[in-house]
Amino acid sequence: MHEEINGLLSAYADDELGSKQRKEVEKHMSVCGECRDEVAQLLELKTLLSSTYEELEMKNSNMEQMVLARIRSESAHEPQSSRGGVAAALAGAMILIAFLWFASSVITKGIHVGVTLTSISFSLIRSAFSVAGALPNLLEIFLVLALIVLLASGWSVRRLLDTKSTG
Amino acid sequence: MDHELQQLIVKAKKGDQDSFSELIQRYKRKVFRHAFAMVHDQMEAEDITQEAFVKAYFSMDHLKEEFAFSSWLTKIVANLCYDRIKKREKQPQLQMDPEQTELIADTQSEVENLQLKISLQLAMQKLTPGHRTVIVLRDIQGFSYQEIADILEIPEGTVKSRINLARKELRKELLRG
Ligand SMILES: [Zn+2]
Repeated sequence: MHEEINGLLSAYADDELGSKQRKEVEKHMSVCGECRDEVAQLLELKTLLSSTYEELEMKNSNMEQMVLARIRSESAHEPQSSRGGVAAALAGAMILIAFLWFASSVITKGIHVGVTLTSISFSLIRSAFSVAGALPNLLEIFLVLALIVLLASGWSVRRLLDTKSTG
Repeated sequence: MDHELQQLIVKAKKGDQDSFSELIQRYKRKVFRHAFAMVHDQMEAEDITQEAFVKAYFSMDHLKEEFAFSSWLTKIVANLCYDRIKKREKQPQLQMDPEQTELIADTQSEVENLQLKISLQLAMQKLTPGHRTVIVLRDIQGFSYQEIADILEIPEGTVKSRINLARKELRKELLRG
């Protein structure tokens, strides 16, 4: 019994036991001096901990300004460059997808139509970039829109080619 | 949580720097104390405090509920402290200067009290970072077991047993002196 209760004393000192366990601990403590002493020592330790670290203060009196200065300098150059990286990766992925999409149709069903469509898709990407460049905050949105347009045009091309080859 | 604090957090989330500045003012002591109790070095603790707030500002988007701000911020600090301690594991620990004690304290009981506090800080440095963290969260920051479980992402039962073990270790180190 003593061992079992002893393992609960720390949580008892923190008042983190359910009422059933708390009552068991209190019942045991009424007959066990060792556990009573241990609870007293635990409470003393808790008080010592909070009083020791409570009185510590920072030497730096302008923490707010220093943090804000760092925030400003970091937000001044960071987002733009990372955004550019993401945009480049997205554009690369889009071109690849567009090519794969066309490739299956183009190679099997005629290069002539394919070349035209590839140049259309390139001009789409190019125009997406020039618009997005003017509004850097909306770059991602435009890229996603461009992707949707590309996919839609790709789909209509496949249909076109299908109709052409069957007709 | 009071309404004013909630408003501050909402505004800070939208990038309002004045509101964020006020949040720093409210929480800096808490953050500093946590960092100091982990690393026991004034300069490093202040540096961690600064870094924690910068990190918090740039990840405010990830804060889902305003009422959890304190726990969320504490999680950032706890992780930063862990990283620092890991990096310097091999470096010698800072020792306190016993002579300094006599300069601050006048009476015998004040001297004893100060010596006890210094012994405690030395004992805390001997604990593993994991044990030190739960003691800091419970006895210095006053979080409940449930909150500690959320901050450290471990079960509440583990929190309970870890605090129990950490205190046993701490008392052993204190007696060893
Ligand atoms: Zn007992």
